Amino acid sequence: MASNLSSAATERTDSSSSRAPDDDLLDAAFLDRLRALFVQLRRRRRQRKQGAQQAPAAGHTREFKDHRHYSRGDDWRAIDWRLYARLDKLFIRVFEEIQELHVHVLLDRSASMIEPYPAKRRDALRLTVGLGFLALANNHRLSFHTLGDGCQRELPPLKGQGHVQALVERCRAISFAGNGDLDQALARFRAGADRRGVAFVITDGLGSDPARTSDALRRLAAWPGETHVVRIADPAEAEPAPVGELLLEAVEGGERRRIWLTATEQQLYRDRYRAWTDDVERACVASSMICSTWSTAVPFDTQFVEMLSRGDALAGGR
Amino acid sequence: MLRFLDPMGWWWAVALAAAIVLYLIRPRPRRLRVATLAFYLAPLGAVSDTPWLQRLKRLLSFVLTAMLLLATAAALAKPVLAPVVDGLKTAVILVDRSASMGAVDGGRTRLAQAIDKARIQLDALPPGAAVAVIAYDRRTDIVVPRTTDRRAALRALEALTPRPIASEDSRRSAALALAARLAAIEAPGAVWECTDRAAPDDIPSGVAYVRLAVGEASNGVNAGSNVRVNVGIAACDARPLPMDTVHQELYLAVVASGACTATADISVDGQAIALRTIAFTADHLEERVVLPIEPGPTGGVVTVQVTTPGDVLACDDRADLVLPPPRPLKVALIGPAPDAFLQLALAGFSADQIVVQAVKPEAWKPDLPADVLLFAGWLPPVWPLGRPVVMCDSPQSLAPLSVTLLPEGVGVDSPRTADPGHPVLYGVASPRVTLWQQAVLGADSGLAPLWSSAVGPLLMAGDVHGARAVVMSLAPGKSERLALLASWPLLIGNSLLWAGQPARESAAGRRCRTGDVVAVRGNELRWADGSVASVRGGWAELDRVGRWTTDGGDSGSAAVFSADVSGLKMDLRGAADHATAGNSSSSWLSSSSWLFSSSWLLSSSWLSGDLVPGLVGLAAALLLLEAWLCHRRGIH
Repeated sequence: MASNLSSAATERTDSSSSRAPDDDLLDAAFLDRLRALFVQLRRRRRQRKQGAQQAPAAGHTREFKDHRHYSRGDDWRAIDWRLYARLDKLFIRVFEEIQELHVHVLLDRSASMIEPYPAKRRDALRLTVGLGFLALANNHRLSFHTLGDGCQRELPPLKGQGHVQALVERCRAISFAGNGDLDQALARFRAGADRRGVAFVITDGLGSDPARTSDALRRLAAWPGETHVVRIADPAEAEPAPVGELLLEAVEGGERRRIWLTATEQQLYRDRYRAWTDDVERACVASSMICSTWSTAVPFDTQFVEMLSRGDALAGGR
Repeated sequence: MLRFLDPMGWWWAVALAAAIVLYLIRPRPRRLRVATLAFYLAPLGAVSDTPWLQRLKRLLSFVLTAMLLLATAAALAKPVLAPVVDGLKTAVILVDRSASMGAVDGGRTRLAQAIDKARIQLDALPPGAAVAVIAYDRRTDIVVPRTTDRRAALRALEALTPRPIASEDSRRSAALALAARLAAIEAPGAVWECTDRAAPDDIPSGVAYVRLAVGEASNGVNAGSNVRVNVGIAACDARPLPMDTVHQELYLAVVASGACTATADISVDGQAIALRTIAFTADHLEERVVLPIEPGPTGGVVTVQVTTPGDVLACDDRADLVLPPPRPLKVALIGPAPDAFLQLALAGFSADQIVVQAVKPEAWKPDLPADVLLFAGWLPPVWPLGRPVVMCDSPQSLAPLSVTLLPEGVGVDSPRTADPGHPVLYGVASPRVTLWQQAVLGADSGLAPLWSSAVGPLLMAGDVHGARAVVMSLAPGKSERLALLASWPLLIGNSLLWAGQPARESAAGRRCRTGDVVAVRGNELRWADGSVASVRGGWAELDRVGRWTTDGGDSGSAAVFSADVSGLKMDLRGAADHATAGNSSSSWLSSSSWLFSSSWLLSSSWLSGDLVPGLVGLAAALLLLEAWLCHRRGIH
């Protein structure tokens, strides 16, 4: 399995013709900023709630939490016989359970993520590394998948801060090309035996048929854990091309169209785009998913903290 | 041959070079890579033109634009398709201006269409070639003598108008012969005839003949609901009834060119007296109407007007008859001892109709004051020139009449009737007559037999020396069944009235066909519409329809009266549209014989003539096609 992953990664690395220079993408300064963000998030979390990721349910670890009266149906093995001997009343011991999260990062690697706006790739990769760093630093398990015309596991599940470098190297090797089929890719997404955790879907939602994006995202409604949909958007996408004769070429599929764009059609474009974004957000809300729009024009730190504050599984916000 | 009246117009084809340059340096659209086309295509509708189709459309657009420019330049060069006339030195344009050329086809008269064709022919003439214009109907006029001034010929052509005169083949042959003589003055020459008639059988020799045909659209077409037809008056006359001094009998013949319904409105002095609706079918295109009219004591004017929807020719729709005031016919009965039965028949006539004056042969003189001379058993030494004559029981021959006496006579039962419709036999029951023939009649010319027996004619009628004559050789007294029948006084009365009719109408109410040249008194002839024509040498040509009077006191009326014109029966035989005549060794004829072997080029209206409208239409069609194919949507 590991060899297959390695060979697949090597193949994509060799054929990554559309890969942008990564010198300033995941450099040491960015990783330092991630550490600072991690400290900032932990500080904020402590200000709001003590303890790290306590689950409300009683577990079976050796960390004693409390006593409570015995009631019918409780496990009699948890009865504190010492207290019974002293108080002549049945109490059971309650232990604290520390839950281990499984963070799944699903990154769209279709061509529309790098063309015509390379900033989308940059922010998507930084977001991937940021989420991975956060998960590994919190001692969570991390799974990294890429979405193209299918769902490809890029790395085996990772745990521990020592795997951050491997994640960074893997992100650098990813090639953004080809036609994306979000619906097909999410249909093939298998979380494995442990279905608990958080899933982050990082995509622009565009491609040959953006109208299917909402239907594709609805496939994640069955995911039991917290689901974040991060729509990477460049502000220029919301605006149509200037008025005049254009030869448009779709980066996915290479379809070409020659049009004469007028002001009326520009307005139609804006309306259409706005309707599409609204439709995507409605689909997420209807499926109990957290939808965030990640603009490449906004600083990374601001959006990263804001995005994590909207969920409570990873950053423990609220 | 294709010629360009304004070859400088081809300079506009330079715009084609500009189009080519613009095509080569055309601004390319800005290339733009986008994440998705959906937001662009959705507002415009889905199209799926592939790149090769885009290239094909661009190339097609350029080709159509180039064709549009070429068509426009060609239209500005004013192309005309005209016959090859290189080497021609004389062209005579022979224009048929008869009544049928006034028929309206497609909003224009046939003459106007013919002039257009002639103009195209003229444009194709080589420089220096002489032109002459001849127009004919019943009269042939040299409108423009032989000249090299094309503009004068064109002006004369455009000034021609159809005249309401029915042409005749003999007149056409004469005009064609005259045109051939003019064309032969400087060989090679050609005669271009603008007509709606078929090519003539007698094509003059020595020149080329080309017929510029018009009127194919309506000639011989059986009328449908929306096909134009023509209805016209082919004949109209009025005459006194034999035994009636008040009424006259109006005879009217109406001819149609196709199935239709026409209305004949008959009025006397403006007061309608009859309205007849006549239904024509494909098998019944002629209708005759006979009805009594009452002109009044002072005469009157009978007006007949026929109307039908879609009538293409107006000049034959009206006829006016000037009825003279009734007066008795003066008859001089000349003979030694007229037959008693003849006197009995004459006595039966009313004094209002016929007044008989007996004259002894000794008192005979050629200028006897009578409308009709009735000779009974006696003949003058010479035929009375210009006097209507009725001869009964002629004793000897008198040129041109020859009489062969039968000493014993011959009984004739039911004489053979050569022309039962002749006015002399009106009301006469020929099959019931049994008579006694006394001589066999004959004539060199003018007289035609009406009754004949086994031995020869016994009743003849016709024109002799410019007057009507009726000759009979029968003895009513010996006849077994004639004298006491009504047929005998009818025969005598008809003969007198028919013979005397021109005399009675000579002073007033002459009924003529248009184109007749009549002898009138006075210096001016005034038409009912107010126009005035001069009388030259006592003769005047009646060149329009209507009533006329002269300052000398004569009056009459004229109408077309032609069944061929009203029925549009100018039979166009396509095979005879053209002909070449004369010596086939004529060099220019042999060099251009292909033209005459493809005469459809001339007779086909869409392949000959001015090509500018067609090119303008082609340019417009190309423009629309290019716009529809390449620019109807923003996406190519």
